Amino acid sequence: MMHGRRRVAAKEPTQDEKDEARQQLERYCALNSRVMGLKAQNVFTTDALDATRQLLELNTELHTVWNYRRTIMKKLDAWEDTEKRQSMLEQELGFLMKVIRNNIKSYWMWNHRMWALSQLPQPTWRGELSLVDKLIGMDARNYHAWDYRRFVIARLKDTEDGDAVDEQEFAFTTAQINRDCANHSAWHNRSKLLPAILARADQPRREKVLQTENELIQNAIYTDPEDQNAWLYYDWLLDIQQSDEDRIKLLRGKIAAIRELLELEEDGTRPLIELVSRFAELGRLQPGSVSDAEKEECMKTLCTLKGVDSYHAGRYTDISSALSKRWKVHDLCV
Amino acid sequence: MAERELDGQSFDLVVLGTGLEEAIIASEAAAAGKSVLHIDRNPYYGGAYASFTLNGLIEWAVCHRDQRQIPIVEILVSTKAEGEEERRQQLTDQPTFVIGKDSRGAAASDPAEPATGSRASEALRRLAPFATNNMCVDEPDSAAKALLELLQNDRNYQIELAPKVALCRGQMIDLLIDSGIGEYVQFRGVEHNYLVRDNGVERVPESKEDIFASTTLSLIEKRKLMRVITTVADQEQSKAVIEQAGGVLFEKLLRERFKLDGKLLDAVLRCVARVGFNEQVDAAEGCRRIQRYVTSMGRYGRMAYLCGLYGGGSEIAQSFCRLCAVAGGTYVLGEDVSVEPANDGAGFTVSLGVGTIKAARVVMDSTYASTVTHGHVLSRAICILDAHILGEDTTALATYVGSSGVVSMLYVTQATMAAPKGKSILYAWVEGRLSENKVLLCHAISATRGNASALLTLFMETHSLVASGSVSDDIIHTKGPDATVDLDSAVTAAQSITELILG
Repeated sequence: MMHGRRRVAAKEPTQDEKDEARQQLERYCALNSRVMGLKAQNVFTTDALDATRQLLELNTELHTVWNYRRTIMKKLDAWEDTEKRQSMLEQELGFLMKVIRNNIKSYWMWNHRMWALSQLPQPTWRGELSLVDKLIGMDARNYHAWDYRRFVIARLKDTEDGDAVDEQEFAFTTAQINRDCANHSAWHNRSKLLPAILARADQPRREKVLQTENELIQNAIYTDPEDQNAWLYYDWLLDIQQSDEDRIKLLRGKIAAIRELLELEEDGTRPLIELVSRFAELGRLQPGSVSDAEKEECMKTLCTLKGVDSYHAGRYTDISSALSKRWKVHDLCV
Repeated sequence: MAERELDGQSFDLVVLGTGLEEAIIASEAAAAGKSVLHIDRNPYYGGAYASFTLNGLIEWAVCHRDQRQIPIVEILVSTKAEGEEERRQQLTDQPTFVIGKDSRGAAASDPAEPATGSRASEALRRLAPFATNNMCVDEPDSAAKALLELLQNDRNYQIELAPKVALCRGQMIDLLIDSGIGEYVQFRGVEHNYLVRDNGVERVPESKEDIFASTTLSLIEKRKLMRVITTVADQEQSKAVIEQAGGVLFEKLLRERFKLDGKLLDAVLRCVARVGFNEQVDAAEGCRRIQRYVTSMGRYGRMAYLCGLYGGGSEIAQSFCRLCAVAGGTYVLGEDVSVEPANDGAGFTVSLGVGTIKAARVVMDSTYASTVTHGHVLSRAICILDAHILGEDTTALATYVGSSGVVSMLYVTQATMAAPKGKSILYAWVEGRLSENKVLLCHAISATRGNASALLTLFMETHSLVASGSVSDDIIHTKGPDATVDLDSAVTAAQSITELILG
């Protein structure tokens, strides 16, 4: 369930275990019938609330019951009183903390938590942030945790200085990437934050930020050239550039970086195909900028790749034929 | 067993010396059902691996040190001249005390002093005859005062004669787990590994995370290091690389195949694979060492080595002795002992103050042999610093790589109960005689200690003794601590002897 943990092989249950399982099942079915019955009759009492609690502890996936629970809570008298609502919802959060341990990836449970926090007269966003920190600490690629983090951050910005929060979050992604440069969730979160930071910055700051991004990407590419995260982020960075000029500048930088890497890593498949793709892109943006020698190099590289990486032979053949038509050179992959 | 009862007894095995190897041998023999008598002439356990408080160390240097094994001990106490901010002394200055071959004689010839005064002044009195500047105990000069001040905290020090650490996936750790000793002996992780050169101290990046986050490596260096880690550390890939390379030296492989040089080469060759300055290590062995290191990381955390608390080697030796005693072994400390072949030709006669014992087999630490020749020589330094240098409350390995030699270093603090709060100890050692290597040792310490000052530095030369002479033919001798940084070599040596004894 968690990333990077070994799965434990399932064992045939003993007779005792089977009996216990059957009893649990009977209890569950009885409880389920009772709750659904109460719901059908539109009962909105604290007793019904308690019944839903018991049922949800056994199974967090019953979204109808979560709905029902929300309805009950809103219809109770205590809801109207601000203090009582605060304490009711805080208890709700405590209940959810207990349930989180059973199933950390239940959509409905996270949804309910978000609802509870939205309804709190005095929400505790900083507390939520530390909860998410802990979850991400346990499994750095749990996207529920990351998604929830974005929700919390967005709400946090209502009460705190938005720019400062963004900067903190940005630093958080840096720390996560430093811990594991293959953490896609961290790169993804970074890509959500970067545009806002760039938009706020003046030209010198923009250049500095882009330079930092370049360095981070290069770091990742040199540490592990076959991991796709940094390459994808690089592509995205190129995409968000406003002008073709900026894009071309970044492209040339990228091509130079790949060339340097290839000096050390002659047989890296990823860098090789990236080199070809970048030349293709450069040629498209700035016609005539790719020299004949470079074109020939690309065609040869595609041929080499086809030999080295037979799984993707079809893709290389495809690219080769497209480029040979566009650049009017021989297709060596035929 | 009361003293009188030992006389006339027979034992399957008599072990002389309670160093680490002897302790392991004794406990394994006892576990295998042999009757074991374990004797140490010293009033303490550990032999060449013993650890002491500061006072204890002084007492050891003067009274208990085996003078053939460690012919000379120099102690330099740093002082501040009046009104000076910093201590101006160099480590290479003339030592404050020189304790040489006849120290026991000199100590014994002192008239017995009344037992007045503190333990600290008693230690000073013990050292005074060896002062190089006619020290008068009753009117202490600045060096004596500095020493007295250090001795106030004497009990917070646990200083090892042969500091070593344990590789997490090494034989020592496995042995500690198998024997049950691992359940109570305490360790801390050796958190970092440093490369020290004349131009500075740098952490050796040991994992993908370290490499990625490093700000001192260039991109190309990062790539090269990653390649070494992923290729060499992987058994399959390294096999292919080694076959391709043929029988080359590991250093050549790193230079030519992986294009390492400068600090990268030093880091991989010296700090991780721990190849000595004059040591020839072939590619296969080098890769094995890297693999052992890399697989050790992650067993207990992000460190490759563990460091024992309260003086690892000594604690572990004592634990094996305890294990031996529980299995029926008998212990005698503080008794002189001699061994002769038995008159009837079978076995040995062992003579102690309390009587004569018959032994079928004898294992001894070479310092108990009557005639010895000298084997390897190690120069060691123990430097007490007035501050933390490589981190507070942490333990670290460091390797100084210079043009004339490679010095191994171990940095310890309160984290392993080795020093009082706020102070730290830097051990340094290198193969060769002290007269030829003292400057190198001082260089290594100075390059590592940064702004911290040395309060007291002890230099010694340790010889591994090789027993010679006819009596020694059937007696098995242990080798004593070697120059490696980890305890596994002691386990290997001990276990090959155990195999011989137990058949």
